Amino acid sequence: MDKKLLLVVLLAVFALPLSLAAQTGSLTGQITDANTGENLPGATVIVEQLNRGASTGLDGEYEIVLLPAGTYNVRYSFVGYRTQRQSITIGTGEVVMNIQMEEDIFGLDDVVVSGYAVTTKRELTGAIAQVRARDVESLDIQSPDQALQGRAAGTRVSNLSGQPGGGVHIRIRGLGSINAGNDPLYIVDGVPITDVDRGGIFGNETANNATSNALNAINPRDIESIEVLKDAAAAAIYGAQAANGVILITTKRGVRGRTTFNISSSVGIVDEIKRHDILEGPEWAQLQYESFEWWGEFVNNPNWRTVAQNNLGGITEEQALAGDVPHYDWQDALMRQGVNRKVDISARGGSDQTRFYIAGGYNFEEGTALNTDFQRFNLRSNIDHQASSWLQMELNLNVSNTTQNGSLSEGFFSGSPHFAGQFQRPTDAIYRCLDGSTYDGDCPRTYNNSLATGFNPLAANELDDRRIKQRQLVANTAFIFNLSRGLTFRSYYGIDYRMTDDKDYRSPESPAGSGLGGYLFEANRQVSNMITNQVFNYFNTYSDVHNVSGLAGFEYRQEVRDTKTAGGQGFPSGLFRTLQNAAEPFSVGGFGSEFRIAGFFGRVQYDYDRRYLLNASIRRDGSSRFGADNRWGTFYSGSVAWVLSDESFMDFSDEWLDELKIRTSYGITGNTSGIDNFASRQLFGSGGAYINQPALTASSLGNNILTWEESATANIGLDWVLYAGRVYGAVDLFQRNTSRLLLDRELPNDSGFTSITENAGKVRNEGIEIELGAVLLDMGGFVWTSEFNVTFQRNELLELNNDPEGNPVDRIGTTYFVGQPLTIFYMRRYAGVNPADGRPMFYDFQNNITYASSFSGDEFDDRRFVGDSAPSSFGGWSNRMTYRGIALDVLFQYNFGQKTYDAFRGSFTDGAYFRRLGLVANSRNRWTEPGQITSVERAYVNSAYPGRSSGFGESTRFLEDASYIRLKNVRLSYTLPTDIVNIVGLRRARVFTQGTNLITWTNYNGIDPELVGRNNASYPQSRTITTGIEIEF
Amino acid sequence: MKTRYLFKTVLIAGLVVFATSCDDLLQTEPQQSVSPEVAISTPEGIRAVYHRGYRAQMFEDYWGQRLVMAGDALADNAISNPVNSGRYTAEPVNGFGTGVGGWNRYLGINDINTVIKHAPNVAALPEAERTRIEAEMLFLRALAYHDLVKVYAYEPNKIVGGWDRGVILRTEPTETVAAADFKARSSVVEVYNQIEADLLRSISLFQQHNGNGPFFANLSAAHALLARVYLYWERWGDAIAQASAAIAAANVTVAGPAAVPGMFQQGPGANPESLFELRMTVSESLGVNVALSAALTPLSHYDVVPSAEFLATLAPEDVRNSIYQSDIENYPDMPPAKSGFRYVTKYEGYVGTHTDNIPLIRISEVYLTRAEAYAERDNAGDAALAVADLNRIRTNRGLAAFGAAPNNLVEEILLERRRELAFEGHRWQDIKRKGLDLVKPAATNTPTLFYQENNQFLARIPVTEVALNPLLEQNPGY
Repeated sequence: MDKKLLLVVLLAVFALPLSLAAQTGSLTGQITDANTGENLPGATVIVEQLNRGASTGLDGEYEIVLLPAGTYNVRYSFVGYRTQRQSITIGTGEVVMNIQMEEDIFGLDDVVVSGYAVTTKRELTGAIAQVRARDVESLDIQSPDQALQGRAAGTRVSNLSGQPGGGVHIRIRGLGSINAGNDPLYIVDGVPITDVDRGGIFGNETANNATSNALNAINPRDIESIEVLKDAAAAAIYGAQAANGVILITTKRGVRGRTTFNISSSVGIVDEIKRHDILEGPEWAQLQYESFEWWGEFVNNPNWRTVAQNNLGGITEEQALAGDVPHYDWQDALMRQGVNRKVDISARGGSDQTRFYIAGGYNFEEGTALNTDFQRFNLRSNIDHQASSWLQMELNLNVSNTTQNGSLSEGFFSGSPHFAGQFQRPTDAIYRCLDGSTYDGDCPRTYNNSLATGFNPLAANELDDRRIKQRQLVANTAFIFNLSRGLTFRSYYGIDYRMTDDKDYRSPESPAGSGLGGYLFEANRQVSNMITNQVFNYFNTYSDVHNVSGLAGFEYRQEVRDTKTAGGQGFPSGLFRTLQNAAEPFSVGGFGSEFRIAGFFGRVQYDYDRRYLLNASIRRDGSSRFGADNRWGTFYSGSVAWVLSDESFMDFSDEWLDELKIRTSYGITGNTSGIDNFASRQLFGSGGAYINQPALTASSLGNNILTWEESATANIGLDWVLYAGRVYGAVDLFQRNTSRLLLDRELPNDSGFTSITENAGKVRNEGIEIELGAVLLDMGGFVWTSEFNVTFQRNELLELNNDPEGNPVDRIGTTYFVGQPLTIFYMRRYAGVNPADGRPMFYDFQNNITYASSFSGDEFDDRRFVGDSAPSSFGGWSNRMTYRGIALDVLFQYNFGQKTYDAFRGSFTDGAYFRRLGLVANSRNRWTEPGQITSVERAYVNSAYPGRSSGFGESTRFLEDASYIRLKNVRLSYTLPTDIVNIVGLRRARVFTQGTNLITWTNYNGIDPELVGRNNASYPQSRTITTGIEIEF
Repeated sequence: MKTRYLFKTVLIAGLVVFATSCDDLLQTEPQQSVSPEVAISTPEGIRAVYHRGYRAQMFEDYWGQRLVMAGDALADNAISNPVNSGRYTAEPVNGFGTGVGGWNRYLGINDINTVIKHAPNVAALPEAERTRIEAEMLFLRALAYHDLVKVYAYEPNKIVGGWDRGVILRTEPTETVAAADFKARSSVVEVYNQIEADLLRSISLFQQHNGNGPFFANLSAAHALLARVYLYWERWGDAIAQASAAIAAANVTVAGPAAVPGMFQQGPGANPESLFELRMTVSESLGVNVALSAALTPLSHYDVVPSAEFLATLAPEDVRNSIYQSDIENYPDMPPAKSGFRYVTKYEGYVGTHTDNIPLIRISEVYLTRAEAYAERDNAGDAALAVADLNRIRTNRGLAAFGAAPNNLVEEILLERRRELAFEGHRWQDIKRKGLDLVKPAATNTPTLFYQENNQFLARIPVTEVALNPLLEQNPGY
């Protein structure tokens, strides 16, 4: 079947009438602003049928040479101006066409990148959100995906980690999957980018703690635009990989004209966003005595004072009461104010034949935790060359070297500074003198290791070395053939090659390393991702009103992963940090895996006079991951749009209505990302070794019918543009039904297997997205433009698989429940403390008070659905105010209706698990006398609380509303007057200052409401303030 | 014309990717895994699955940790260190549902079944190796099923309340999803019959081609394991015969008193008394959290220490005192609250960091098995033979020989087993198979467990398995 299709494609190629004309002419002219008459450098001229173009130079002039004779539609466009189309006939000579362009705020004709082609907002029938260069390039961010936050409707962006270079959590139109992953497909200039598998090495790379970002290699300054393909009409062309949405990142290209150099440099400071108030030494000791006193009463032990004193390292009750107790600030010792520095240099220019964008960047950012930082060097070179009238070539190269130092391990681990700084008694000293006496600032000092926890996190941070180094090459090249009028063929090749070197070194002097004489674990991972596609593009206009375009192509992708690991232990001292110095190598590992995807795809677009638009796409994908009997799948979409404003019955509105368009679409996309490369196969896998002889074990039973998860998305949208683009907006309603979820079915373990993966189950996402934009004020040179977006979303798990007897399963553990969102919290309900005796109370299944909850998992279970970690609405509000050379950008970003379980604060509140270590200020609210109404129970010595069967456990007590509005970004810039900068030979000079994460309005008591789900001592985001200068010459 | 030619060339080059058939393009082969065909029909594949048979015995839940020491904590040999990591706190107080465990042993049995089924058909394997491999796997299957049945079921002659359920028997590998069906538990006797049959066939195969002891199963070990099984089964005469055969086939003898202190400290080498020992290499170490040395020594968590009652069974002249050493003397930096005990030095990272070999069958056990079988059978002259075997252990441990059989001969033999085989996986099973009431160490503050009344002598089958498999009956009381 597929071979036939192949044959058709081949025949089509060779049967083409290769009518390459020998006769050519050229097109030139000048483009100016219709109001001011100024030259417009950088405007784009496209000969649509040939898909060839040029940009204007400094003088606003353009020239396209070697044009075959004929009549063409020529499109003139420039960001911020309304596009114009001209029908131009080229003969043998030079045709001169001068154009005057009108300003356009909305940019109805701005180019939008869609899969394998470009289009304009006017022609869109699907749901695509766009973020442009000016929103991305100047932000204080390390990876470009962060720029989507608050700017793209339907796209929920959360910074998972404040670790510089850390991961970003992006969910486009909700969560569709339990096991197959919910991350979108990232494509940079046509190359799909996937992250390194870091599972198990640095511990806890989970959905909530991503230490490293897949897009770290890409410098945000190089971005031209980011498109988010949301509905099936937009994304189905990416077939089996598109169900979670697609993010297309396009980098800047060269423009014809004199070479322009741009240098931008900034420096700034990085601060903690918030810090928990903690109990200082004396207060802490008093609380401990209080708890021991009650313990003595409870167990009838009159010697409780002695017990307490022994447990508190000798602090007596008298000292505690008198406040004669030391206090050491571990947070201060572990946290800091960081700095960031950024330098970017680029050169952009070109001739008629060759255009280039060459850039280099350096970015260094320190985190707020000691010894955490991120550093990137990158070089980019994007070249376009017009070789002849029928051949155009592109080459994009990006080379980067990134280094991430620091914690790399968040969560409740002694290696995480955010946890470990709290996981200490405030009475335990940080340092001691070398002679063992108390450190008072005068003596030679060393780390104090005689701590209640036995682990000095400062020593670990300063002596150990945990680092990710990544070298990445993203490159792609394309050859574009103009086969005949309106028909082009694009032959595209791309690679993403990355090498990472992870290092986890524990010095023999540090707490984690001392037991083993120090150890070092290194992992070298290589990901090599190769993609090629061969695409025909066709465009033509018949009878002036029938616009037909289409594409057909083939794509093949191969991804190979290769990992080698080695570890050693026993180092002479912390000065030795390579495996060569290890006395004893203890582990060597290797791992390789591969998957391949092949796809045939096509799209047809038709519109009548740009009034009635039709769009259909289809893709047939095969994946090596699927079962042999289910290897190929078909994905498709169809969409229609109707531009009401162009109808004659709307003539009354012509004066003020630019566009009113209704769009609707439906389509099918797939999700294969969570399927293990060989999940469908019956296999014998590595089973370790016996006496160094390798062993194999039956690792999986085959499932020949295993296949992708499937999403069916329906979308209805309305777009409007009024008053020459000064008021605009869009509303989209969507429903996404995901079926054939990949679920594990349990097998009896006595069979030798624990589970098998199969396709079953359904999830639904639905929502409304609203985008509004307007020029709010335009008076006396003062212009205020504002864009607002909001998304309302709902998610429900509709169905799971069946149990062995064929009955539907209604839950997976205590995490997923049919009829509830995938992000539901299922917990006991906290009822405060009993005012009479200070015991914590919970509601039982009958809503009566209980002190011992039932977790039986049946109708007597006291747990209930108590909230959702996904927001019910989110969005952003961005503003830009300009007056002469001054510009002020302000971005607010918000999430409402989401709950977060603050496990961190819960753990360090008295009454919780770590109560004998550091305590947060919440402990001051503890119950101390009968009749007191409070939420924190009476202080007690451990978690087995009298009259309560189990101590610390998850309940609504620390489940909080994490709705927030955040002043995400403020940027003030001043562009110096041109006549002044021209004197010193510059074309442009600008100074700016900006702040990120400046103010947050929230009722959430934890550190950062942006964290998703549970706060397990994650690395919070930081507040940065930077100042810089940008010059162009 | 030139451009047309060039264009064609480039186009053809660009379409090279089409040249091969698409299904071939999508064919990938895993690198860490092989197809079943490779695993079961080539010598390399079979050998690798065979090695897995051994490797699978060595995880935390089996002989890597719990089978060796959980029983000592459940019984009377061990208590929790008051300052602990939270591990092994329920065993010494016999918390509800706390047993030796190890139900997932079946994951390893499946691989063993694979080898037993397919190895005989691999013509490319030399005949001698084929025979030996089958014999070894039969031995390991018998060992695994005996370990399961002794934990989850009563012994055939010690059944309480008519509860005669054994464990699920699977002797065929699971090769399709359909074969991963639900099975019910066989009776105890059916399980013992299967174990006996496996071992008898293993012995007959070993008699043709013996295994390479002690790190691989071998003839002497198979006899010794069968002797152990008969002892549990209370088939005294068979136990005596098999123990004698094991001793005859063994190339080790009971170590002398001078050798005892270093007996477990052979580095990568074998215990001088081992008939069968699992060899642990550094690269397969279970690591800082669950290795035996992690739980038993101050090298890591140090959660379990010998009980005072157990240490009191060692007379001052007993050379086995050297195995239980002062923690604070050997590890002077220990926190005071956690130290002050004598700890078990049988596994103290002698191969490498948190890496120790694990002796499963020692010659001393075989003598004690035979002694007990003689004493229990008690035919004419058996008592003297029992005393002779018992004295062989006593005299080699610094204790005086018994002249004549003491009145409480069986008790003396059991006491000797307690001393000799402590922290080697025997104590809890010995109490259970004899149907004795368990008097707990005073430090555990736990009342006596009465054999006839206390359901905890049988371990709880994992509740998730019982919930999943409607045919799987849970043990009484859970």
